[in-house]
Amino acid sequence: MLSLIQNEWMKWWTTKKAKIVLALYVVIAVGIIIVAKTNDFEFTRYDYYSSTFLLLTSLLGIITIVFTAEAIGNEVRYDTMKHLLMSPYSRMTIYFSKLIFSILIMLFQFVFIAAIVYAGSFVFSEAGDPILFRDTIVEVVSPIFTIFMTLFFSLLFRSVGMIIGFTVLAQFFTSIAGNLLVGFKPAIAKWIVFMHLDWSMYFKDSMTYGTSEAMGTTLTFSALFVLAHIIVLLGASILVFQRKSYT
Amino acid sequence: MLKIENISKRLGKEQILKDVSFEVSPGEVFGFLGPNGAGKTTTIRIITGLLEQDAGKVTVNGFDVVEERSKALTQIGAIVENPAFYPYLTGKQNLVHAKNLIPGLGQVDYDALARLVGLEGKLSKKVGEYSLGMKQRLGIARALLHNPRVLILDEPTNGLDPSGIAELREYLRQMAREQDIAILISSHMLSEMEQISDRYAIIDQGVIKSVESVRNETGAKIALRVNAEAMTEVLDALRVANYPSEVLENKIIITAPESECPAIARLVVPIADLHELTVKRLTLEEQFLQVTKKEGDSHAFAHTK
Repeated sequence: MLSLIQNEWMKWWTTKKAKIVLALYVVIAVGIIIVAKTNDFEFTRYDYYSSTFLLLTSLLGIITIVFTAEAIGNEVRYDTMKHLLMSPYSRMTIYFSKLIFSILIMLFQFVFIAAIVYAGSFVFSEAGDPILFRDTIVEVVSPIFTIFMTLFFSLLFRSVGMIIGFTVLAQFFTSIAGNLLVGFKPAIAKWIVFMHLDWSMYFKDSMTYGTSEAMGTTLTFSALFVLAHIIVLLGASILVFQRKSYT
Repeated sequence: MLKIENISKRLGKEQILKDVSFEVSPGEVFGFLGPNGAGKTTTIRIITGLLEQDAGKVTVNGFDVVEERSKALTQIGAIVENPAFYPYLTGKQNLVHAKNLIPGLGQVDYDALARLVGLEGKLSKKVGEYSLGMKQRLGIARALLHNPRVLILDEPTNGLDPSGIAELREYLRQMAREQDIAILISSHMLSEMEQISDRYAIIDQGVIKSVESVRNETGAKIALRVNAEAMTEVLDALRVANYPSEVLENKIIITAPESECPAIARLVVPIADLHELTVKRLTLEEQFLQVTKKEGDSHAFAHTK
């Protein structure tokens, strides 16, 4: 399994886009500092950290879809999937190597973003509210769910564009529908999984606090609901991948 | 070494393979011939574990490809259809990737492999810059990376120029001989297979029509020139001995295995003056036509590139 993950790393790191994405995070983080400083924004460390981190993790969500879609989509595109499937490793091991690598790469970027934004926040002298580890860590739930969903779509569609398109559309429209439903039909909204990916709604000092109250859900409910969806997506992906013929 | 026993496969409503059986021995180059769509690639996909047969069994070195998949596939090196690579990786990175797909494989001498397939000094180039011929060579290097006991090559000469084909031919024969590897090569190019293979199987519409030796076990054309007065008597004797014969330009033409020459000579010499005995080996194409003539089928094979 480790050697398969090494292969995934080699394929990812060799591409230019891996380095471009890391550079983009730095450029955005530094750019916000420059804009804030030149325009005399009254940013505290907390203001800079929370707003920049939120922006970059939103970007990470989209980039995670692209990288995950390519993990399987590119094997089909370059016709190399048959080479993987001819190896002595089982299909299950191959699928899990892709899954674990996608999660590791997302976590790597997540930590990278947190580190540069945290380091950048020291440009601002005033501390403001304390930067909480809790607020940082809850942001990882959404990209993890995205990975399972994208991998599932990767097994349904052959083109990387279709995989990305479907994942983005599913996420975008269902989230919009969920947010609209919260206003007048919260009992229905609570059954949309995308409404349970932002766990900051359970913290009283958060801007999204109120959504959970409207839906009448708890953190445990959200965690179990997301986990159940992950298990279903994982089971369906394994089932499809075991039977799929790449001819 | 490689044993295919009565495999059948249906895809949708179509029966792709029906009761396919043949064996490839160590040190043998085995040609797998058939027109496009005959079932060659499906058979290869089953051997390499990409597809599972509905019935029958494939064993590699005694390991069942379905039951003992990992052990069986570790013994196989293969190019299926066309050699596919990651174009943004170098030749060497593609080989490292392939090495990582074989559990427990130790150090690999990539430079020696490159020399072997004529890619010396080219492994640092990105595969996207390779010609089709270079990709074929890299595909062979990848298939040989783990010293497999069975090598499976699906149309391996596609994209190679005549000198590349000749080199590959020599290399494969030498490798089969020296390393005792069983090599299965599929192709629809009869002339090419004739020069590479020791034996061959012809598959058509999912059925093995014939498994023969390229060295004319099926039959050669043996021509006899005898004195004219004895001609009828010789023909009668040949007919009684069950040698199919005909007269063509004052010569008796017999279709029989080359190994029958001494027996034919012994039969003729007591009753006629034997002036000449010549052997014309059947080409693979002639053998193929002979096999399919029996079946009453017609085929579209490519004879030359």
